Amino acid sequence: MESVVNPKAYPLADAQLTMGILDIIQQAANYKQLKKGANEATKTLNRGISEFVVMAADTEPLEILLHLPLLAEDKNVPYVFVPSKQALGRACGVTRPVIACSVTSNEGSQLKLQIQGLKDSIEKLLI
Amino acid sequence: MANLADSFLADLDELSDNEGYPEEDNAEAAGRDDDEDDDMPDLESLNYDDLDSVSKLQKTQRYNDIMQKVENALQKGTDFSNQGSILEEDPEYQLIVDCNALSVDIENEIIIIHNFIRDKYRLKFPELESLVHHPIDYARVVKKIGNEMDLTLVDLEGLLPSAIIMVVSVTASTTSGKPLSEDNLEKTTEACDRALTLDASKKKVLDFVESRMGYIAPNLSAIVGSAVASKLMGTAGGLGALAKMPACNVQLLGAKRKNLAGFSTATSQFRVGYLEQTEVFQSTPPPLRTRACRLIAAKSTLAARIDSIRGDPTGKAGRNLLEEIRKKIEKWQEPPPAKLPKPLPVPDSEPKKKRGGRRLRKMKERYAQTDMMKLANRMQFGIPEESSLGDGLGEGYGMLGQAGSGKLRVSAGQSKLAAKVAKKFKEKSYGSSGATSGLTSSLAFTPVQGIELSNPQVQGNLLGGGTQSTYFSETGTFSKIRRTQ
Repeated sequence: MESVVNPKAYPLADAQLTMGILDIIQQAANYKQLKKGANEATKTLNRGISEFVVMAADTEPLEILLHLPLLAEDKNVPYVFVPSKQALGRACGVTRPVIACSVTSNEGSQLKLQIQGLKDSIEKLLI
Repeated sequence: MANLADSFLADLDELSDNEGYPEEDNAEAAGRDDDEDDDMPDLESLNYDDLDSVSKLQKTQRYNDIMQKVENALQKGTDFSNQGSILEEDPEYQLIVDCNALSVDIENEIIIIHNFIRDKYRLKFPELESLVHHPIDYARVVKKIGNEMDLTLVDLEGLLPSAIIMVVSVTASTTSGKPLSEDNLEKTTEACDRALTLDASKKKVLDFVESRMGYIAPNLSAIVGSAVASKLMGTAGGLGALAKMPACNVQLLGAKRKNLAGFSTATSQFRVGYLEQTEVFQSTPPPLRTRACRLIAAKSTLAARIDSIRGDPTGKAGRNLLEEIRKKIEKWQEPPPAKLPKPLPVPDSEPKKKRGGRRLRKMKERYAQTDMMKLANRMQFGIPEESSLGDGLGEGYGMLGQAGSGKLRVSAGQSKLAAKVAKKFKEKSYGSSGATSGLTSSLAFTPVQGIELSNPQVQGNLLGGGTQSTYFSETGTFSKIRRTQ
């Protein structure tokens, strides 16, 4: 499974970082700070309320969400790929696979420190 | 108020025009002074009197270069000899990208000219701009009407729908506008001509883009067709911008404000944009078109995203998405499955907890229905029953009292249980109760003591003559009861 990952899915998180990302996404879903789906993630990037964007690397075809890295680069928002869309859907609390989601900003949220730490970890992948 | 302001503006125009005449005589002597003097009235009036000051696109080098290239490309026809090369380095792709940008600029330019025409023509026909919304239609109508005051002499057939032609004619007969001056009319006509020329150029550009759409966006063209794909790209501002749109915005691209001309909105058609013109949408039954439009918008967005990064140049992904759309729409049109006859439920097969026996039979006999209630529950045929309130009201008596005796009392049959109960009750009662009549004696027999007699007169002698009052007698002393022993 790892050997057939699309090379366009960059930066791809390793197993440990993936676990941390999915954990934060699940907590963000509980705190209503999560937007699920490629279209809603696009809207959060256009509105400038996105903290970071998570995408699934096993999307078929992957091109249907490769516009999100371009938008994220324009808005200076970190983005990362995780290996499995099924796992991403489960973390979002959805029974269907989710190929893209976005954690939104909320001043005064209890998740702010964890989100900031995760953003730093994601940005290190791009160095 | 607006008409008054328009009158002031017209007066300003007339003053500017009057001032222009003497200066022209002097202008023949000095050319430069003439140019400088011509600028002054424009600045003073601030009315955009000159079309060239607001419409500059046709004078630009970029516009002429692109139009020339489009002419050459259209004449050359479709040759994809460079299909194998890198896309971004192909000069024709760059031309298409420039055409997309140019079509947006042409659209903006047409809007600017439309504002110019409206400002000029508002003096003559203020209501026309609220009846005809489309800029190109407005320009055609203005060019056709010109300075004519009687609209029955103007033939607007082919320019507008019949309902709007009728509304325009009726409104023109009551308009508060006045004929334009010759100079204003000439400027307005020139602006209309320029708008129509720009519209023709835009059509040419879109035709070129449409002919190349199978090369630029193969997947999007597979779903919605080349014409709609070029319109979507033109409105969105390019393929990259279209890919960055959420699907719900793509659904509304090209949606126009519908002019109902006073008719009700209850029966108006479903408002969609360019996606309404796709072949899949038109072949969908009307009740399912709302869902079909949403589905086509979502899949078109996915196809545009694939095309924007050249994911699949052959268009196979687009054809797969189109097949999914068709299958879903066919699935919606299937009737629900027929109702099968429902079998009876499985009977309850649990064993009973009670079986019968002596105790149960006696319990049933104890709680059985009495003979009186049985008669009350029965009705004899042809004979009305009596009731507690008469005339069928209250509680019915059934066959009670119908036996001929006229009494409601029924002599009950002797059941074994009742007889046994009575027998047991009789054995226990051995004494009489206190409430007896005067005819019976108080003689009682007990199994223990037998007969015992007592004399009620004994108590009276102890008090010393019970017939006298002993308390307040003058001769009497305190009573003392002596011991009998």
